[in-house]
Amino acid sequence: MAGREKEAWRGKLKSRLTGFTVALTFIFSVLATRLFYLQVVSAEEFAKQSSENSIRIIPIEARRGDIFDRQGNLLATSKPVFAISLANIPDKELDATVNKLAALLGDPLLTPESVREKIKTNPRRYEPVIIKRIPADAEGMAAITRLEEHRLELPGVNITTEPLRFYPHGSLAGHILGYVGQITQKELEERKADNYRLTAKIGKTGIERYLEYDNQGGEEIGLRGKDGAQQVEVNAYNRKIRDLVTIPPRPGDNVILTLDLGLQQTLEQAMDEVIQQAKKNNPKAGAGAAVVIDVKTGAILAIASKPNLNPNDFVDGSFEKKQNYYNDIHLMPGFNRAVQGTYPPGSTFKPITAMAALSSGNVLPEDSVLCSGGYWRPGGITCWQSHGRVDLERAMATSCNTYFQWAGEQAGIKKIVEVARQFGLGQPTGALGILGEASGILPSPDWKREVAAAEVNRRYQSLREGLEKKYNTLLSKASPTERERLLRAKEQELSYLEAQYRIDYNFETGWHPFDTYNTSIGQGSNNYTMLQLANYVATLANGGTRWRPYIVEKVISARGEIKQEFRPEVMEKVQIAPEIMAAVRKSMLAVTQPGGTASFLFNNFPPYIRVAAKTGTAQTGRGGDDPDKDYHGLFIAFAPYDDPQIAFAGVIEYARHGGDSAGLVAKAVLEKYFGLTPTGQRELLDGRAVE
Amino acid sequence: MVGRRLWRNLDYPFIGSIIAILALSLVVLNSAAAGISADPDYYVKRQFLWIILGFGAMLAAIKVDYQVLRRYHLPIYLFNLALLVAVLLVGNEAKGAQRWIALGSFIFQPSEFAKISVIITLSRLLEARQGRLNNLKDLVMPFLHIALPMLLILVQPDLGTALVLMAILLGMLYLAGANTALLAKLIITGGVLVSFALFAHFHYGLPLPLKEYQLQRLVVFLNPYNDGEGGLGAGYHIIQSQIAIGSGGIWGKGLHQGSQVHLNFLPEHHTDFIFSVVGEELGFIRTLGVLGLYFILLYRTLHIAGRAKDMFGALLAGGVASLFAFHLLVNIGMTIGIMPVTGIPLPLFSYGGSAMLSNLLSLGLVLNVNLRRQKIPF
Repeated sequence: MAGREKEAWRGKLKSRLTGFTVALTFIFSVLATRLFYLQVVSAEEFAKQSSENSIRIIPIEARRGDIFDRQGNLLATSKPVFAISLANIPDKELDATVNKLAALLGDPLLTPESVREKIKTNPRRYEPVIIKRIPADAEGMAAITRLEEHRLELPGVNITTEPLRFYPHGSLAGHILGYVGQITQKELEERKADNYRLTAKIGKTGIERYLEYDNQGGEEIGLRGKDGAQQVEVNAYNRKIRDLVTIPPRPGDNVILTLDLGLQQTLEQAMDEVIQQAKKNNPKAGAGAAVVIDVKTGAILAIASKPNLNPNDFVDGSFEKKQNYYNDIHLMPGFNRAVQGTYPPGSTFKPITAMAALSSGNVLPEDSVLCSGGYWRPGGITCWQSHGRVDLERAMATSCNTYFQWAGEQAGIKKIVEVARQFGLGQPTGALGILGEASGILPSPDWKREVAAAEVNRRYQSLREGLEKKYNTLLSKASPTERERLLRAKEQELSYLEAQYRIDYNFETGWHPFDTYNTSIGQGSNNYTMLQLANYVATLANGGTRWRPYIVEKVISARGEIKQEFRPEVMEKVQIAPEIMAAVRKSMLAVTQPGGTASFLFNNFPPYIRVAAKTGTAQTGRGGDDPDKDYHGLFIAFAPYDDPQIAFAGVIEYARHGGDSAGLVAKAVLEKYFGLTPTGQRELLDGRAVE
Repeated sequence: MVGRRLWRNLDYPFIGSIIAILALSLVVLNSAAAGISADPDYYVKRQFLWIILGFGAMLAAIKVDYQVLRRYHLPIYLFNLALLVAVLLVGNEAKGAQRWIALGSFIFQPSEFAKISVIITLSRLLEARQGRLNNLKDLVMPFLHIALPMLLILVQPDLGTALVLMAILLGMLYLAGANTALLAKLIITGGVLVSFALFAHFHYGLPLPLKEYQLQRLVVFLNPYNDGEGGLGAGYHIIQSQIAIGSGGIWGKGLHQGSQVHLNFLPEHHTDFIFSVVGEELGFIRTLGVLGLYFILLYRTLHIAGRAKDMFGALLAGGVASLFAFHLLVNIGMTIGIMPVTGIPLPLFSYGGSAMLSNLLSLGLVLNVNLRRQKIPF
């Protein structure tokens, strides 16, 4: 009975399926018939229409905007190069053309075979293949003239000029300027709305990327400009027959930076010399970073990261040859140390500790401490010299660790953190025009608890798992009586482990007196960028206004109209009494006066340009470094003391002392800025003081 | 689990045609996508990855006996509705329509899942109502069943997929034994009403709940040069596509040689208009071959339906057949100028991840029915 019922639906289904198949056959017949009509009956008509489809639009690349320094010196521009391309031509003409072209170009690397290879691997068969790019110099012009003379023997060969990015000062400020490169698939997708062509170039890093292109409610701004187009008529081989309409391109906007070319050159040259010197003493040396800021506006006047990055290498194809240099995993030339690298500040942090101590009310500038040079207190750090009785001024001048550990304790970690934060440490400065700024670390009890807890938990989790595993293997092989014993032993070992865990957890996540001591003298987990340090010095120098650093002054259209102007912007007014800041500035002046750690540096400066500064020597905190030998040299300064104009912060990696490394760089920069006659560095090094 | 005994039921022409179509699709895509990405292999690589994932989905779909789906019809239906609502609320917009939900870097198109969900739940509904599909009143429930998802898809707006649901319903009603005369009357009435509404809209300004560009594309294929811009407006696609296919002639221009495609006269040539590339570069004879492969695939799907263990399985396979048949008719019809442009891709051929996944998943359902077919009594 059930079977018959089953058969009933199956029978009906069978007939419906037949009906469905008939309908399907009908649909496919209709499609096939239409295809027959299009591809067989009317094929000729459509083939004609297809070949008459001959209007092509050829884009004209817009000239990219130039980048200038504040005085109008050129930092990045575009120079024309000739691009020789070969269009899709009939095979029978191809061989002769390729041979002729290779012979005329006379480039040993460009054989007829390699040209043919380029044509074969061209993914866009209908687009011309670029065979070679020639710079528009005398030699290049000669080659182009040769080609033009043989024009008729070279069907399909096209010579066009296209702009190539050029950085006249080479590696100068290379990290900041950035470079352009071929757009990637990812960038194409991300910037879909901006209508980039597949072959477009796009700013990859630095200013080239920051000011690449922006569409602000219909107003387009940026270095990129707007491509034009040429409508041309082509034949079936895509060769141009005649021009139709041309829409001219709009050149990109020019950019004026706050950088000062002369100051930048001085800065980089001084850094190169000092790094060279440092390398003699420590093979790990070779890198450094420095920033010079206008304390009245936050404008960045010079900023450098060593080793160099030469943007030309990334646009003219030299990168291939210099891969070893750029891929050095220790020196990392591509890394912008001035804003992406964070360094322990060492003693350059001491002015912060001083301000915290004074504003806590527990310390007066006249209060003094006896430094015996030894351990100040258990858990503290020894001082590097016996300074005797020191007050704030002496302590700053001699960089006395004992005093600042005491001052830090008086201030309390909460106050230190509060002051450091107000001066912008441990957070990006928000600098405009700078990409990829690092935050650094401002250690605080909260921060330590969070970081240490994760670390302890991870460690003990793996210990627990190890224990579990050990007993599991033992238990699996054990006899029943042994089992009993093993389980007890496991229980015991586990409770011991847990007790140990609680002890370690409490100790490692807690904030201890020595943490405050370490922080007070800029060791421990303190880690800041040079831009942060420079901006903190600038804030102290100008009496407590923390500006937002900026590096772009103006964006100007090719016709000269100002399209965007960057103005100084106040980030925060520091909540510290002016007298306190004045006292700390005065103590920093003592650093460069007789008896100070940097007294040897600025002897030649006239009395109306006095320099306030602080030297720093910081343990690198990097794995594999010798904590007794490998130190970074740091230096911060501002000048003139009586009416501060510029602030400096710099680090020379593995230079050991701040004064005779980064200090020399600061000296060169200040001499340049104030137009003083430089004194040789050799003679200075003889009478050097050490911290 | 799928025992070894079940694999003996495997329908080889069915599987063979799928693999052949996919292989061909990669060859054609390699040519079609060459000029639209900085990396010439970008799209082929990605499509290949989707095919691999799709086969994974297919295997997953045959693992569990399809009978289980019958039990979960209500959750499936509700989940589908939830997804469609979600895409309206949090979906990503592209070309003016809300169609995608981004899950991390994965982009998901719920309307693709809606097709499968409707096939499954409708199979259960129609199986239960066998023999009671004779008058208008009987058909109210099945129509209501798809009305909700259809409305949600129409709001996105995605007219093409909404029509696909309607086609699935009609195909499955027919297979489930609904009154043929009644179905015919419904289709004719619907067709006449739609034509009348469109006519009234364009000649007397009758307001319709669709965007103007959608309406334009629905009628422009009748006379593509009459689009108000001399064939450069709404009719452009259809004209260029027909030129591409027609100029391919009997033997085609060869891979990478289609000037319509590679000079970019034909937009969307790696997605909705990939069939035009087939026509232009492969020519009439080989294009017929591609049609033939699709015919084998559909024919075998119906064959599998006929040998299903129960009506539920037969309807599942039949629903998938309706889905594919409609896609083929509308997509290919669009490229050769006999159907309106509705943005429906060519299944297993057009570039697109969600569609590839859902198509292979639905074929996995057919395979499930195939492997667990009726026992042949001896």
